[in-house]
Amino acid sequence: MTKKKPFFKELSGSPWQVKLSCAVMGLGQLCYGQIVKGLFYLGSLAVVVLYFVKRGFTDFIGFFTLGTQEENLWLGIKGDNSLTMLILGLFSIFILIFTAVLYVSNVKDAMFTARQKAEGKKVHMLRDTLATAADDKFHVTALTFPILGVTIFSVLPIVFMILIAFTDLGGSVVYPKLANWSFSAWSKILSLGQIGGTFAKILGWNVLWAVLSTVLNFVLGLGMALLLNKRNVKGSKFWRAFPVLAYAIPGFITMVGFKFMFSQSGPINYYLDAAGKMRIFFLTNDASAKWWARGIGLFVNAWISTPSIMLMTTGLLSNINTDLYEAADLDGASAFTQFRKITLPYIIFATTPVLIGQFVGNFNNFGIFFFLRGGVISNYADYFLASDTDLLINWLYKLSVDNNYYSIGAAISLVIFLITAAVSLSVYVRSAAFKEEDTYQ
Amino acid sequence: MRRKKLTLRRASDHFFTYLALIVMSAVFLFPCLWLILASLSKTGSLYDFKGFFPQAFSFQTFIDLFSDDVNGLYPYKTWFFNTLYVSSVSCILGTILVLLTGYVMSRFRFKGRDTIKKTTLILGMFPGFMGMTAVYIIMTQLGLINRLESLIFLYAATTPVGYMVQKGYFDSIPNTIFEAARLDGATNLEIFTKITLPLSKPMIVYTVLTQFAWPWSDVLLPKLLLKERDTWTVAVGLFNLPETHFARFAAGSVFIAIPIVILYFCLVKYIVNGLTAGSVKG
Amino acid sequence: MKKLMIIALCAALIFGAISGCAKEPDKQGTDAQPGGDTPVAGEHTALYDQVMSRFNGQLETGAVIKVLENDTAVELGYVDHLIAAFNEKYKDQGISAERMNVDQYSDLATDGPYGYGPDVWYQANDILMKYADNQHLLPLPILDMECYSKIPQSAWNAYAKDLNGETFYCGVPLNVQSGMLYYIESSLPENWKTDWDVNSNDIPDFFETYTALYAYSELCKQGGQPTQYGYLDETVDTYFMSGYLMTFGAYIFGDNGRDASDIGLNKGDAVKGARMIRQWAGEMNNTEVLDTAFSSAAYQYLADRVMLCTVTTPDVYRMFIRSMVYTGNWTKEEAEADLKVITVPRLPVSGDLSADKWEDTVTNMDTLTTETYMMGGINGYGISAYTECPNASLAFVEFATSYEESVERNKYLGVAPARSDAAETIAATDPVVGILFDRLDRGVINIMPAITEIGQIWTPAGSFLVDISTDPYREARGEELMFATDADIQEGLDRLVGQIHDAIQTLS
Repeated sequence: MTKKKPFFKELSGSPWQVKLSCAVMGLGQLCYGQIVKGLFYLGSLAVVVLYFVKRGFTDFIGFFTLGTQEENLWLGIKGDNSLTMLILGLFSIFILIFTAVLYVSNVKDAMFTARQKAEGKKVHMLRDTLATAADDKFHVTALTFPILGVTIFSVLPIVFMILIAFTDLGGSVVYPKLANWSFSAWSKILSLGQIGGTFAKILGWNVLWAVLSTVLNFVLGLGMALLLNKRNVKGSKFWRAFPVLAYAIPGFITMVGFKFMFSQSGPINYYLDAAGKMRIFFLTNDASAKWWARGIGLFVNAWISTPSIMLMTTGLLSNINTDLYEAADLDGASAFTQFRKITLPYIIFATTPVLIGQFVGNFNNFGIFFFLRGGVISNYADYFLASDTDLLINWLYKLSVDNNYYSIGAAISLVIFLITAAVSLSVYVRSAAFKEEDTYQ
Repeated sequence: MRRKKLTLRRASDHFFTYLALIVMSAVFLFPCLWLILASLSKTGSLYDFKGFFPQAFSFQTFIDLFSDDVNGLYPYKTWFFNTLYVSSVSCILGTILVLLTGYVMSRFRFKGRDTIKKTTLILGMFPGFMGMTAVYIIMTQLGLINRLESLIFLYAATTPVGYMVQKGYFDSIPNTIFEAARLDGATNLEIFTKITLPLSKPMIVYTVLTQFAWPWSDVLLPKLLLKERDTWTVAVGLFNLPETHFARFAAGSVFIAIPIVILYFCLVKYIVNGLTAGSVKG
Repeated sequence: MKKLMIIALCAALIFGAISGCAKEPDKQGTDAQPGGDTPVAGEHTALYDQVMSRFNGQLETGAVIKVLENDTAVELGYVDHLIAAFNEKYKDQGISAERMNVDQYSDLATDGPYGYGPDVWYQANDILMKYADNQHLLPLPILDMECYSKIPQSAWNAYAKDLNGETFYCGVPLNVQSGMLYYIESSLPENWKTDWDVNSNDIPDFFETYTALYAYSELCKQGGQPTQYGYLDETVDTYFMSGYLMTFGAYIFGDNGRDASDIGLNKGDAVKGARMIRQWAGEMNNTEVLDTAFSSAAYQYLADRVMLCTVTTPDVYRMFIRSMVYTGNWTKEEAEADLKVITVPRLPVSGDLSADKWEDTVTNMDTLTTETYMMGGINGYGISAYTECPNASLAFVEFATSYEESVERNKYLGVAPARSDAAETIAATDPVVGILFDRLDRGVINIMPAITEIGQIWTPAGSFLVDISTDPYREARGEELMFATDADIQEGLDRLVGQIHDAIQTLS
């Protein structure tokens, strides 16, 4: 193997075909006789150029201006839509980056062929290219579609959201009004006491919720697994069926069902009433419902999540080497000591990544209070556009989707993201799971 | 004497074990039973219940569910087949994409691998719906609003972000198998299709199952992308039913829950396998 | 930069207006319509003419009008009838309508620009007018419409929007919505004619004044009456409960609902009204009314004789009938004969439901009680600014608001038409319509303001109502009372107004 030369040095000493590829994507390949590949590059270039001529360039400019002509619907004056322009502009930038990547790969490919030729080897034809794609470059081939899909439907929207935080979109600035790039969302968050106060209160509850529900689900799930795993339990498959039943039912059905169950006219209150007790404001928007609703949220979340934790820990428990327990039995260790010294350390070690995932999932658990307390805004005086049970993500939804405060919602979600990412990444990087990964193989 | 004490201890252990089991089963079974009862309510209104029990029972709601769509407001049959379509196609596409991703991330070391790893970690932490506005506009530009394909693309395309579970499973396949195949001259594609996939049946079943189940319970995205009632999925439809149609909600829920529950019961072994794969092997 | 834009736009506007004038619009002759108080009598500005220029009366051939109606009307079959009738009438003119089967609260601002919104949309005026501010809804040439002179000005005002000194109307009123008292005649106590009709006018006294209803509710609670409760209602619902405040001089926004900087829910003797809401919550002693879902529970409870009466809007008449039929105790015809809808009782001037003897409030009605104001809405049709067929859409609106269809809609749904001629016809057999029309005419119904800011009152007001409705329970629960004195209530109202003010100002 020859030592690889620096890219530009090699480029300057390349034959004319490579330089042709530098000038027009695919031409070099065509000259080397790689018809299909050359046409592919050339075709891609044509599509990109056509796109930019037709609309890409306008979209690109629109990304910076966010619209210059305001639409007047009554007078029928056509105009710009800032929101659409932002995303289409972003899209054109993505296309630009994608084209650049493709261009570099085209030059590199031409250089590779040049090297092959210089070394007197056969020039790769279509069949060879396909073979490489299936073998040496399998990882590239396999990841193309996943990365493409994730980029369009996951990365693009998230970048869009981050950008929104730096515009003045939202409130009264919505279509057909035009938006501008601005830091107004951030200054509003800092200057308006209401937002800061609500943020602090919700964040406190959100952290409490994430910790409580993660611990509760884990403890209950593990407890259930241990219970079913007990040597004296007969028919554990039968007993296991009940949690599996809960696991299988779509989550939103469970949540709406529980909402009805705890409603003012629901069965629980009916029996309280029949027993001569006062009805309890479980989920109603009364101040006293605050902790009831939070408790019910924890319970329902546990009802939905513990079965999966139970199943997972069941699987892990069966992985533990039984020799360990037998040795411990011989040493006369009690069942509890065995659990503490053998089972628990292993389970915790094995489930750290899952637990982090659970924590992040619980922290951003949108569904639970959306379904349980949808449409309820309680404790209005203390919370700005939020309920006292809302998690940050529910508040964000109310801000940005229900009330169109796009930029403020986006700015707050950036802050939340920074918090969760910092916490969970630092835990994750320190966890054994992460360290093991790189020593693997 | 000692023996007696032992049996007493064992008896009490038995007692508490089974008590705990019964309590656990009751907690999980009861809400499900209630929903089934509600689906059999005659008047259909939640306010006609005596506690947990409807005043009169009837199978009518189940019949109405399919025969009477209340002038097109609640076309359950259409919703059902819509959801079936979305979940089948998106689960096939999604499974392929996520298996490929998991496999590559597990077996290959290449430039950019670390970037992909970190990016997906970060992507998973963003509050998902914040991108909803963007998704909506992208779909309007693609002309996919009111088309079930929009959901399929979205579900399938975003699946690879959660590749860690699949990667965990592939990590557990001994490396020697691959090396042997490599020595025999198999290409990477062949190794993947002829060796890895047959070895990964439990993982594939698990992935397919979770992918398949998701569209049955997602409300937010279909609500955003599907405007016409005829294009709704079951979850959106049921979620939009007013309280006066509680029996319809219950019946609709029971009807979709039954096949999923059966599926889960039959495949519980694979689920355990799949869930365990997400954690670290000891 | 933006400023420059605006100037340029204005210039374009003026220029356009001038050239518009020069063209001389082809249909201004019908301007001089009959009708007592013409809203925009005299000449229109050039702006008006230009905005209206799209309504040239030429139906867009081949157009299919997408109509978004409300769920109840769909469920009860009226919409299918309406669309079929329209298509029948216009089958030779190349246009047709179809029902848009989407959520009735579709968001025109997000769906419209991308072409997924309706062409014609039936909704309450506050929901429709929310979209008028940003011009998602078209102003309509109402002066040229057949229904113009038949609909009272107060109903038109629900759709008025001022722009540059010109008043535009962005919707056509179809029916009047306001609280009415529903009861089932066979649930009345047998002795009502002897014991509960002291003024011998053949109307049960407890439907004449709230003081009497309060007394009768108290009696029901002691048992022995045909129903378990006398009166139950959603005391946390701003729409129905704000009437208590308005009766004593409160209002939502000043300047006839146009000035959002003047919030008046704490003005006048609003305290009296709020105090009576608290009294009712205590008297009902039923926490189910605190659930926003109670409005749907009400159908069942009336049919099950849990309560004697409740207050709700006329458009849900059929839902009551259906619940009654479901119980198996009534046939449809029997239910229709047995369910009564009347005007709401009068409120005591004392601001205390138990201060006067109930008999006195009936015999001495004029001095001891006052007419109860209610919030109301005007449901109607709007046309989306994104429509490709404004003239066909207008034709549909004309058709749906015609005399025949107004009468027909009432037959299907029991709603009260906003057209005077339809109201007159129906009033002959159905007193509800007459009552509502009369109340609207006399200004006892306060129509919801037609400005965007109305959207900010519901949550704070609902929150206040929850606080005041749960107050009677606090003592038994060992909590501190929030509204023990009138001063506390006034403070609560002031706080409420402050919150609404903040909600409107913050972030705007």
